[in-house]
Amino acid sequence: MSEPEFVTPEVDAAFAAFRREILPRVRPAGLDPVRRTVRRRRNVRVAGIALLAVVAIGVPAAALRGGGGPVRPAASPSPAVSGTLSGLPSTAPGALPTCNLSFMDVETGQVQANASQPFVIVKLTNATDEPCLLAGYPQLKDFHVRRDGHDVPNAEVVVQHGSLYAVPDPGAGTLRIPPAGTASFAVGTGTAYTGPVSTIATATLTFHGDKRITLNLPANGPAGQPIPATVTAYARGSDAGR
Amino acid sequence: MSETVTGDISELYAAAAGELTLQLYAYTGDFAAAQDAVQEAFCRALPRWERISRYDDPAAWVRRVAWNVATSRWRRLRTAAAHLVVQRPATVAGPEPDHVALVAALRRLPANHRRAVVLHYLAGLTAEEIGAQDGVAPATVRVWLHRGRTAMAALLIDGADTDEGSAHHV
Repeated sequence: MSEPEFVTPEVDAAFAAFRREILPRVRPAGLDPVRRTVRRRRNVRVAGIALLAVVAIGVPAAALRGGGGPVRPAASPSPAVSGTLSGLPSTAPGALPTCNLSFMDVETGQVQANASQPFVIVKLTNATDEPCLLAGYPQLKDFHVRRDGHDVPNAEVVVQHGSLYAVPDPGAGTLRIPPAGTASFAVGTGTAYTGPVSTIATATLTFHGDKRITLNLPANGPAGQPIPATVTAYARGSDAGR
Repeated sequence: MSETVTGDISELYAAAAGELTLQLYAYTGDFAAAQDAVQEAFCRALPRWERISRYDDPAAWVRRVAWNVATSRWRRLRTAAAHLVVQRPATVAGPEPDHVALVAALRRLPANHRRAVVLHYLAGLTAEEIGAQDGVAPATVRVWLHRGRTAMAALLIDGADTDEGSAHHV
């Protein structure tokens, strides 16, 4: 073990004696306490996540039920979800935690188009060591819209759920995303309306945590109405279920 | 500890826990803290075992984590508090550090020299392996080893001279 040029017999002997003396006295506590500790930590984590979910769902829901203001009619037949809770899972099968965007890698693909309907696919990768759950439809909010190189303040974007020409909507479901696993969804707009075409430059994707994503989607809408955008539900894999 | 152990985590625990505790006791001079760091390393390994078991040397992962836990004072204190009741076996009477000349001599070394000497003598690691664990060049580890051993030899000889004629404390 010792290199010849560093021979120190006193040290060799001391370590040998130390091992002889101490090792028989070392009696590790065993794996059972380890298993108990791991179980306890998992329970605490699950309880914490459940509590957060209850707060996240319960508080805004209570505010809505409590008559927090007039309810705006939907701008389209599909349910409008700009800033709503529809992306949150209602159940947690297997007691897995819901995915936290702070611990997911989010990539936005190139803008593609099909039949005057530009779209991008957004890919999410679970960057943790634990599986997690993604449910329902992505929530997008805080859209940043530009037109002719200038910001359009207060531009309204209404998000609908459903299929795009190029990307079918898999429908709301709950996906188990393993470590390094991916899920994806598509965001599409339309450019076939009369009137100037804007660009939805960025939006905030929100679930557990927020992430600003770049879309750069050309878009326009009916005159005097919000710009419609369509999102598909989360799909397994990186191509939004195409 | 230097040999590759794969398969069930209980096999790794049986093969490595005692050796790791020995190493960390030599390094920290605190037997209970060494036990706590080893248990904590296995607590972190267990939920990730499916992945760790596929590594070339799962024992190296556990050793690195245990050493990281032991060398982080903040973590050590927190872990010690958390494990005090549930993890530490009441039946084990830890050896008194002051009774062990080697631990006393190790305490006088700078931390990096001490770590290199302990990993070399008790974990059986080469300078290259220690360098890989600590993120330093093997040549640096060789310098630490040389200085550590030289200093320890002097301390052990001095200690033996001082203790000559006195009773051996165990």
